Amino acid sequence: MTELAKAARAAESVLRMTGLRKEFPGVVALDGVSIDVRPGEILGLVGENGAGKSTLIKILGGVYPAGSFTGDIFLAGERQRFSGAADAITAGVSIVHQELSLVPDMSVAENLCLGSEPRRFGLVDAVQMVAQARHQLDKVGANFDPEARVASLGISEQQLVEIARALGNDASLVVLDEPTAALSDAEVHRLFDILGDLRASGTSFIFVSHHLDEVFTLCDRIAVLRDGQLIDCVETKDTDQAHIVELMTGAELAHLDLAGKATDPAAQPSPSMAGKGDETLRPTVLQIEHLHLHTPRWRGRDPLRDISLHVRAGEIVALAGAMGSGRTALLSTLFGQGRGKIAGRINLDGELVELSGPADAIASGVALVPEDRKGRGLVLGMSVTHNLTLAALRDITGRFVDGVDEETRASETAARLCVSAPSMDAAVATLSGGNQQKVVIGKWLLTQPKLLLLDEPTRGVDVGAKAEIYRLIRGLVDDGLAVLLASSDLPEIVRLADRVVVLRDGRVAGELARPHVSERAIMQLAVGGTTSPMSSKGGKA
Amino acid sequence: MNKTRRLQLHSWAMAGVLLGLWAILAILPKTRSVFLTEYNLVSLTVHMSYIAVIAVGMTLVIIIRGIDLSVGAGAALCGVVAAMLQMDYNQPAWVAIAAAVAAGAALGYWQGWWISKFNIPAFVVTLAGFNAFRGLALVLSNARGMSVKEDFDVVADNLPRSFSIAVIILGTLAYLGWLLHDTRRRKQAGAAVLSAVAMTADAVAALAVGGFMLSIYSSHGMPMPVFLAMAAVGIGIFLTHKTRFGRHVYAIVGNPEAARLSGINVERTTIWVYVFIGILTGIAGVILAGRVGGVTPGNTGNLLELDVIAAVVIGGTSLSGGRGSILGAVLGAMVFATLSKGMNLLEVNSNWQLILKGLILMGAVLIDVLSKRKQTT
Repeated sequence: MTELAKAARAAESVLRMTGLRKEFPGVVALDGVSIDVRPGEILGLVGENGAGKSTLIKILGGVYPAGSFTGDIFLAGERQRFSGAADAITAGVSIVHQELSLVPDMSVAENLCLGSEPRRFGLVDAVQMVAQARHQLDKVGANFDPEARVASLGISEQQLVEIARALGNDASLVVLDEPTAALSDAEVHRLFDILGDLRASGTSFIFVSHHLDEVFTLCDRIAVLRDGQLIDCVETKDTDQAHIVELMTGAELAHLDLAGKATDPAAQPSPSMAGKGDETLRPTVLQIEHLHLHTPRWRGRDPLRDISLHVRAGEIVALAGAMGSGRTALLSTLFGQGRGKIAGRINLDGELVELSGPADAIASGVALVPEDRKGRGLVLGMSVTHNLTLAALRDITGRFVDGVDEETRASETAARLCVSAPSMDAAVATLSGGNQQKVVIGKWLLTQPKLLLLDEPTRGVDVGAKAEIYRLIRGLVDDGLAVLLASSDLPEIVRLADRVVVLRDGRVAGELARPHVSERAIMQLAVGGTTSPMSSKGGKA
Repeated sequence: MNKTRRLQLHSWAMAGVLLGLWAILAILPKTRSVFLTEYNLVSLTVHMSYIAVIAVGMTLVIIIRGIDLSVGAGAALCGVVAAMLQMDYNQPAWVAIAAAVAAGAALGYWQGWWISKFNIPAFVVTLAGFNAFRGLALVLSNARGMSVKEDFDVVADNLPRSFSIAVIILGTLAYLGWLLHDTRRRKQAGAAVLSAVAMTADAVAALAVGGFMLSIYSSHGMPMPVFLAMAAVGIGIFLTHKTRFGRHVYAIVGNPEAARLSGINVERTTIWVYVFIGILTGIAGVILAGRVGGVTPGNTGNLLELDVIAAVVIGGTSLSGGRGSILGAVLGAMVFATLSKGMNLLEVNSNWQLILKGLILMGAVLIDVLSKRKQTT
């Protein structure tokens, strides 16, 4: 194809991306992705976590500047080379990020005009600014006061302000990253109506979401990413949710399991787990009955609703579900960190417990490896030894810290977990992600917990360390520890879990036990919607 | 190089600077006959003792990214409490002293409570204390100078000679013994031990300090303020390195969220840090009252907090929190006391003394900042 012909083809699309490839050290995040977006179209972009959606968005938004990736971006047929986010906005691409980026203490109008305030005699023209804001708000069908403080608005209204701001930059293409994550059903409907109107007036959207229901309601076409590749881009009317789930997870799950077994036998569930009789003999460590977490916050719904589940000693139960489905909220609640009013019962070792703080939870034998390792798991400036003993100092040395006892216990633990560190006195910040995570796990092992809560235990950890952590978890469980694992990494769940509890919108959407645990089955429960039996759709892949 | 080692190095450097200053003052014609005399050195150490006492607590406060601007006023208030009990209620010295120290602890609890429960910046809370404590001292005393009785002099007098000598010798030996014992246990447990050089240096330093103290205190006994300052330093170092409380202090500043999730009570730890400096403020107030036989509620301890903070900062403690050295703070106080003394002896104009002190403070911190920047890049 000649350059001219290429350009002519690109002109049909608002956006055309060809052969995008982006590498990070050791990972190919995007591998030859080509997508185009037509005028007045809403394109759905779906994929599991880590499929490459956010990388794609960041390239499109100029966050990753031209030159840091290969491939081309055309807007209305013109080749673009963004050197920063400002270039992308000037060219007409606006991104509404999942986390709102408004200044809460400024008015709506001030937020909308931030950086491009209308001026009169060199001073900000407040009157003109409000008028301009009014006009922008009208475009998205928002009828609230432009002079209201952003903090006084509801989250859905703030979302509209974001969209208004995005459109205000004369955007021809708006990318919405999980815009419904914080909205109630009614608010979602309202947002969709507005997006539909904007589409009719010619604006194009890329809509990124975990909720397939919403994608099917709203989008004209759906692009599926998996492992950095564009698997397919299909017309919504020609497909169904089961098919999309298949595309997202890949059909060859059996292979994946086998691969896991071949490379890392220790990470596989031990055979004894399969024995039903054996399982019922194990004592139940954690029993939750009708747990409800009520938050009087902005969220349209409560983060946890009527959750019942149990975990036995020597068993890994995984919590699966989309972002915001309640995984982290449940673990936090079990660690005495639940934000809001808690109803229902939590039994540990058959005893009803009330957990009003981490100290309570630790005393009851619960340990939490938090999702945010650096922010919540470690004191980065402290040494490996001191981090390891942080939670168990009382047991290790009594009132006065005895350096020798402490170091001995810390060294033993580090050796057991194969922590590789320059020295035990080195600041834990100098360790790799995988080794840092081992330190966090080690910290909790020293408290001799009965129940270990793991929140995304292998996030940001390289492949080798991942396998080690899996082996480690499996070993602990074989020694009788009960583990509740929250993860968004489906292969990880399939590999580790004896049972899977799938959450959706704060409720238990279903439970899967081996051998019925598969990525596809989990996805099906997690995204909800049609619950047609998988077998009938099997032939479609 | 890790933080601990950096701070140790900093302390060694401070000790070097101190010895250098002393060497200069021992040589300069104007000061050579006066400076290195027993009388002068004793008065120097007494003069810096109450600053050192508070500096121990201030180091902990600054490690948790706090500040305490109220210590000068607090010391005056505690002094007033002691003097009132003595004169108005006719109590013996030990009751008055205990009450003054308890008052200090209460002031610390008060401030720590506001700081930790409501997250009010320590600067604001203690600035309020800076005004309010001084005001309370003036109200309680009706703004008149108050004296203490004769038995209160124990806090300013010299300890008996024999007792002083025994304390110094036993203290030095105890430190050396602990050094050997710890090394042996570490070897047995297979833990890391200090290098031979570092151990020798520590031992030599301990012997040198012990020897120096013997030389100046053996003929008349050790002044009580110096003894109290040494006790405060010892307890402070023990608290930070050898107790769970000390570990928690570093954890809550390093990452409060991780500390909380490890079961540490962040609020309580914060409050205790302020109670600790409050107790030390009470002790300093008692020393100040004992030295002059009374309190001038409007003047006692005026701007003391700034001397203390200067000593702590020059001693290697970072105002951005997370690291700090009690020993460094004491050496810092010593350096400042030496400078004042030296400049007085050299008859430097007192206005110029202020300018020079300011510049020295800036310079010392600048060197520290630059050396840190070099390391991180």
